[in-house]
Amino acid sequence: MQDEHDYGDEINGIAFRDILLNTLLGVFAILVAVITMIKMEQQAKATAEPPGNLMVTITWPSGPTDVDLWLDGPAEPVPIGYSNKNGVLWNLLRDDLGDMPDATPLNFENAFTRGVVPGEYTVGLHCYRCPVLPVPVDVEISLNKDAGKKGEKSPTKILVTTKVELTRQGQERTAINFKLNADGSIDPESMNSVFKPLRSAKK
Amino acid sequence: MLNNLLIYRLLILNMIGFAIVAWAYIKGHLEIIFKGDAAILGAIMVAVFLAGLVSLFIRASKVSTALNDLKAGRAVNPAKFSIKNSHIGYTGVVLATIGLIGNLIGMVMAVHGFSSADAQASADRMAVGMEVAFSATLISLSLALWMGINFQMLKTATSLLMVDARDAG
Repeated sequence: MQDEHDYGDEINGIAFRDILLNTLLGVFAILVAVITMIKMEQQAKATAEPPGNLMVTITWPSGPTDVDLWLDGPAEPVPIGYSNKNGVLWNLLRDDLGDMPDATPLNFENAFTRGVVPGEYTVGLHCYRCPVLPVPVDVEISLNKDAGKKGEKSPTKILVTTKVELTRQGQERTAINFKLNADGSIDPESMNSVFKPLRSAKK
Repeated sequence: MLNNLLIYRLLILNMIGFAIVAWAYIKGHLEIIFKGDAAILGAIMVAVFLAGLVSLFIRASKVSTALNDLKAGRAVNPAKFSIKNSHIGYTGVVLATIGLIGNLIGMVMAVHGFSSADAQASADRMAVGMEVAFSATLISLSLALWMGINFQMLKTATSLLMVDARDAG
């Protein structure tokens, strides 16, 4: 009598390969899903439009310390700070008073210009209330030339970052003076931190 | 003694199978076979399965008739029965192989034109390909299992027929 072929084993072998391929496809699909999520996150970051063009952000360690950001720029009649938040060029978005009243321990202030206006700029810091000294303050100046324009936007570009240490209560220091060119670049020769009073300045 | 027991057993088994299929159809679980991107593969597999089923009942009727003859004391020569039945078992292999091919087609659909630059569109294509691949596997293995149970019943009856014929002869 002829030995009967075992079709069950043959089907099991095919089924095993089938399931193995499905598993591989599943793993590949997970990789694609992860790549898609990363891409979408990157796109969301790239398309997030800042409320202005030239941006200055200062951050300092969490706690009750209150550092104030002061700014000056071309055609600005009076320097911009907590007591004069809205100028013709600059707008101070937030006066951070430290941890009161604050929803988060994050301490930072930021200001924006509307438009890219060439000329001399000054970024100043004032230690309004500093119970813990010294206070290290990180300063970042970035630019988005296309903010406010329609259509495709160029990404935000960091122009300068610097760190300033405030060492006594009430101290006012100039973080940076710079000259902005019409194309949105900073003249590297113009950058300095020569003190220029802004808080009590009168033009 | 009862005659045609093999036919009755196969009828009961397949009626249960078709009752399950009817329940799945009413619940809408069979839409992947007839409406999805795996529709053509599903149709091919169903056609192969039905052809196998018809062939199964033809072979079962011959085995059953031989068993009836043996019970009635008539001489039977079952030497070629298992060879002639073997294509029923191979139908299960064909179904599983079509499922494997469907799986590969699904994989090709999933990776065809994959581009990390257009991740969203790639993910959409991937989902369609996965649906085809998984549907093909599900349909083919379900039908192969069904056909396998049928074939096992036919094979057992044929083996018993051969033993009884040898004992009688």
